[in-house]
Amino acid sequence: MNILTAFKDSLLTRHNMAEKWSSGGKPVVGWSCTYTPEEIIYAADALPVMVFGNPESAKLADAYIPTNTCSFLRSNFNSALKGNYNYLDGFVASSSCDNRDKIFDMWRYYLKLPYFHFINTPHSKTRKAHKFFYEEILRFKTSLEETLGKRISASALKNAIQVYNENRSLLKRVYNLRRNDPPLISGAEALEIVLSSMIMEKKAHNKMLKKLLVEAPHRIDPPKDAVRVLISGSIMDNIDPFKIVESVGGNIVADDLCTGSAYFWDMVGSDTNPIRAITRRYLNKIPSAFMLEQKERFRHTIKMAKQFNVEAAIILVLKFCDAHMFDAPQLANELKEEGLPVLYLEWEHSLSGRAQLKTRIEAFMEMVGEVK
Amino acid sequence: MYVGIDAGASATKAIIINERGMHISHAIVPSGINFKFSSQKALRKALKDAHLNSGNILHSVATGYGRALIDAESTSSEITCISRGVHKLLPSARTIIDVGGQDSKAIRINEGGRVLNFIMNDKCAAGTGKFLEVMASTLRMPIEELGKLHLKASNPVKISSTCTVFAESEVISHISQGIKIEDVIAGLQDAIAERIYNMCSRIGFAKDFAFTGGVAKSQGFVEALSKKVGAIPLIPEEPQIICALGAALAAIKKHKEK
Repeated sequence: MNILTAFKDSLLTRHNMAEKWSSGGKPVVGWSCTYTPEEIIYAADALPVMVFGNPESAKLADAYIPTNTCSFLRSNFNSALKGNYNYLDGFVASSSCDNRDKIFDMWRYYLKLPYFHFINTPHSKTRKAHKFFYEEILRFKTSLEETLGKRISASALKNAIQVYNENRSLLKRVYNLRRNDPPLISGAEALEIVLSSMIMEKKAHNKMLKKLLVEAPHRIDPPKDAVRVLISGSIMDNIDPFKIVESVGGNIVADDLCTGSAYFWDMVGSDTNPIRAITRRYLNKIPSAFMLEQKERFRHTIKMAKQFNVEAAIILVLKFCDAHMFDAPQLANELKEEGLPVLYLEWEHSLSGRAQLKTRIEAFMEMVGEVK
Repeated sequence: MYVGIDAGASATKAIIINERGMHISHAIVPSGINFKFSSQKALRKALKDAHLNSGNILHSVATGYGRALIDAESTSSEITCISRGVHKLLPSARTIIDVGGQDSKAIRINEGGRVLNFIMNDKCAAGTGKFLEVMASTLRMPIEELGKLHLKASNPVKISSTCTVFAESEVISHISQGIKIEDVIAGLQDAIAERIYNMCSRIGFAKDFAFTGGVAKSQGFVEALSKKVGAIPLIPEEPQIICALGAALAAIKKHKEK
């Protein structure tokens, strides 16, 4: 399927794509946590792009950040130090895990971008938290308006919501292609598709998704029969770990990742006040591990495992990703109670120790496959 | 004939078995930096010992870190191969500890030899054969000596660090204090035994445990591990080729399925 190459290419050429957009006179705003309401940026006629890392060593960043911290964040700060993100007109962070919050300070201190903004995202969903988050999103909107020197109208916001919701429902349909057994697209392909959504102009992405949905049922090279796997865990901006799983007898058919289902699962509801609708969506969405909403997060993971007929689960946690490390033993218990075999793995963003990772995954697949 | 090749981090092992899974010959060679080369060398040696040639091979399976790089019809992970090999030779074993050149593993299997759970050490030399190799070289003696000297120890020192680099400094500091070398060696092996035991405890211990991998050849280490676990392990005659044996047994199965 040619369309799959287009998603892959968009990731490979993401910096050129953003530079091109920027040279057209439109701003590019980087974001780093899925609690950032992208609709606000989109409604300001700017391009929101997720800041990814690069699976190379974080040499430059290591001069500033201790190595016992999140290797994903070290890696994306490294890319920024190298100048890969020089085209950004601004960078928006949202209060999530401690590492990410502090990395924002590093960005603000060392990188010369014209605009920085930090959204104080609450970590619970009480009534007061909703009220507070509403004000935070308004404050973000106002600060963006002042920086760009233009007003973000209610109709522009409603349009952004509509475009983003369409993207979400299309992505959900793409995920549903994996309810088939064997699935119609692989886990690595699906991850590439979600990642490309995070860096592309959403209308263009929607077009590509529609094309994919037409072509997928007729593809001549769908994944072969294999153990149906769910991946749970930290952020995943690199498809290599998925490729390892799928090269040793697994088909990844579901996930609870913030670069996966948790990014698009929930829609913005209807409300006469678009800011209120956005507030609700982002605070009520499938919670990330830093939120004090562990049970709800687990519920989603288990529900997905059931809906997608999962046969085994792998919890892939980035080294030093505290929130996930604390959650993992409990989530593993819950999944085991559902009768699923579970493998817990820690990995480094640079994928050092790849051979050992592969051996563990392969052994796990053989263990599960023998029962199947 | 069926062939299993285990391209391990330190040594490459080739084994030839017949259709009933009986051992015909085997060879162990250092892996070096070229798995393809070392695996060919090991296989040639094993074939020569058995007076066979490559035309007699019906199916071959590769395992170990270099498994993807060598000429074999299929591959299988070390965990599955070790379990299969142990189950063939020591059918009563339910827990397996395997300590190789680059990692150590603990595996739980059921009465059919199927893997129930497993755990591998973190990606460093602590708790592996590499640790012993480094210590042997620090002490300027062949690795086989470690196991022998261990048995002479009367008052093992406590090595508190299992990090290979830090433990090396600890060893040097003990020696500079005039402590007997056998007591230092015993302390070192106790430290790894403890680390491996703790790792194993995470998946639980079932009685009748087997001990495999190159490190199982060290008598002193076996003693240290037995003390920690509180039971004497079952050790195959040649513990270093069990993983290769499992691969060869897989080759029989794969050939039948064809």
